[in-house]
Amino acid sequence: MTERPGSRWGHDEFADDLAAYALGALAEPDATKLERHLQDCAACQARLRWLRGAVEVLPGSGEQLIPPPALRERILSQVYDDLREPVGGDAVPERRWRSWRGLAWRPATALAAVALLLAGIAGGYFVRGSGESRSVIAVHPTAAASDAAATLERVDGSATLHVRRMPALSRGQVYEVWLRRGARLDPSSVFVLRRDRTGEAAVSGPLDDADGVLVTREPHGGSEQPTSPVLLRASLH
Amino acid sequence: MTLVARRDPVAFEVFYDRHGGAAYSLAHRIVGEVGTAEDVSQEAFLSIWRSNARFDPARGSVRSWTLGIVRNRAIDAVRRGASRPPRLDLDDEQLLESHPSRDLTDAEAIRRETARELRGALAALPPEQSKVIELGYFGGLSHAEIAELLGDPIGTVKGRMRLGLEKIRATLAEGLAGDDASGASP
Repeated sequence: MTERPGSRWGHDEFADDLAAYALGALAEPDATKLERHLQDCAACQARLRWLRGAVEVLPGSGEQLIPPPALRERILSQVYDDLREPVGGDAVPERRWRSWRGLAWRPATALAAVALLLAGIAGGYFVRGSGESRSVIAVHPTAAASDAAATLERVDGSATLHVRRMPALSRGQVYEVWLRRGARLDPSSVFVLRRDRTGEAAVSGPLDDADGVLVTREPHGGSEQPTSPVLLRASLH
Repeated sequence: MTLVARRDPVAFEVFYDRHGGAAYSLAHRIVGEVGTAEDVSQEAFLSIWRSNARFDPARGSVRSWTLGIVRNRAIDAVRRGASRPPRLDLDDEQLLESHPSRDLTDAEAIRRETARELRGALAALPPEQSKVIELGYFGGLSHAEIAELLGDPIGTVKGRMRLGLEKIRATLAEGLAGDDASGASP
C-alpha cells in the first residue's frame, strides 16, 4: 500500500499535477495553473524538488552509450570557431591560438584563409566584420503576458529573441514577431514554444531602420498585420 | 558553469566530457538512432554554449538541466520526423558488442552498472505506472495525450505518474543511486 504523500504536505489537489509537471508532461492549462500556485507555495516547491529527484535518474536508466569521438570534435570545433568572432575585448583563449597555429601546418587551409582575407578586404567586409557588436536588449511583457520573460540578443544586423513563460497558444496559433518601423508593422518570423514554455526566434529582416520588436499571437502561418494584443515589446533605440 | 557561462572553452570541454555521455545516451533513447542522436547532442551543447549557459541552481543539478535541454531537442526531432521511434529493448551487452574496440573506463562501467540497477527499479514498477512515465518522459507526450493514447481517464494517468515517481524515490532512498537521494517525502 502506498501512502498518499499529499496528505503530509497539505495540498492534495496538486499531488498528481506535480508528478506530471516534474516529468515535463503536464499539459496546459493545468501547467499554468500549477506554476501560479508554485510561485507562492513553499511546500509544493519542496514536493516538486523531491519528485524531480526521481525524474533525474530516468535518463540514467537507459542504455549508456559512448558518444563517438567525432561528435566531441565537431562540437568543440564549433565552440572555437565561435571564439574567432571576438565579442568586445575578451582575452583570446589559449586553444584559439593553438587552432591558428594549426592553420600554419595545413598549407591548403592557410592559403584559403589568405585568399578569403584578401577578398574580404577588397569587398570592404572585414571593416564591418571587425566592428561587430553584440548586445542584449530588454524585452518588456505587456499585461497580456504578465508572467513572460524575454531578451533580445542583437548581433549587428540580426537578432534572436529568447522567451520564457509565454501565455499559452490556442490550437492552430503561433507567436509572430513584428518589426516596427515608424507607424508600420512588418512581419518578421513565427515560432512556437518547447514543452517547458521556452523558445527562440530569429528576428529576420534588416534591423537598422527598425524602431522596435513586438510579439503577438496569430493564426498558424502568421498574419500580414497583427490580429491580437501585443504580448512583448522591445525598443531597438 | 560560471566559467562556461563566461565562454571559457576549456571549461566547456570539461563540461562536455562530464555530461556528453549521458546526453548522447538520452538522445539515443528518445530518437532511437545514432545519426539523429548525434545531431541532437550537438545542437543541445552548442545552444548551451551560445546562450551563455543560463543555468539556475535553484531548479536542480547541472546534469538534470543539461539533460532537460537534450530531452526537449530530442523530442522536437522526433516530432519533426527526423528519426524513427525509440528502441526500448536494447541492453548493455548488445551495446558493448556495438562498440567492441573501446575499453570501458571505470566511470563508464559504473554508469552502466547504475543504469542496469535503475532499469531493474523501473521494471519493478507496475506496468501501468512505468508505461505512463516512459511515454511522458521519453516519449514527450503530455498527460492528456497519454490518456487519449491509452484510453484511460486523465486523472488516472496523472495518478499513475505520481505513484511511479514515489516508488522510484523510495528505491533511491534504499541507497540505489545518487548523492541526493533523500527518500523522505516533504
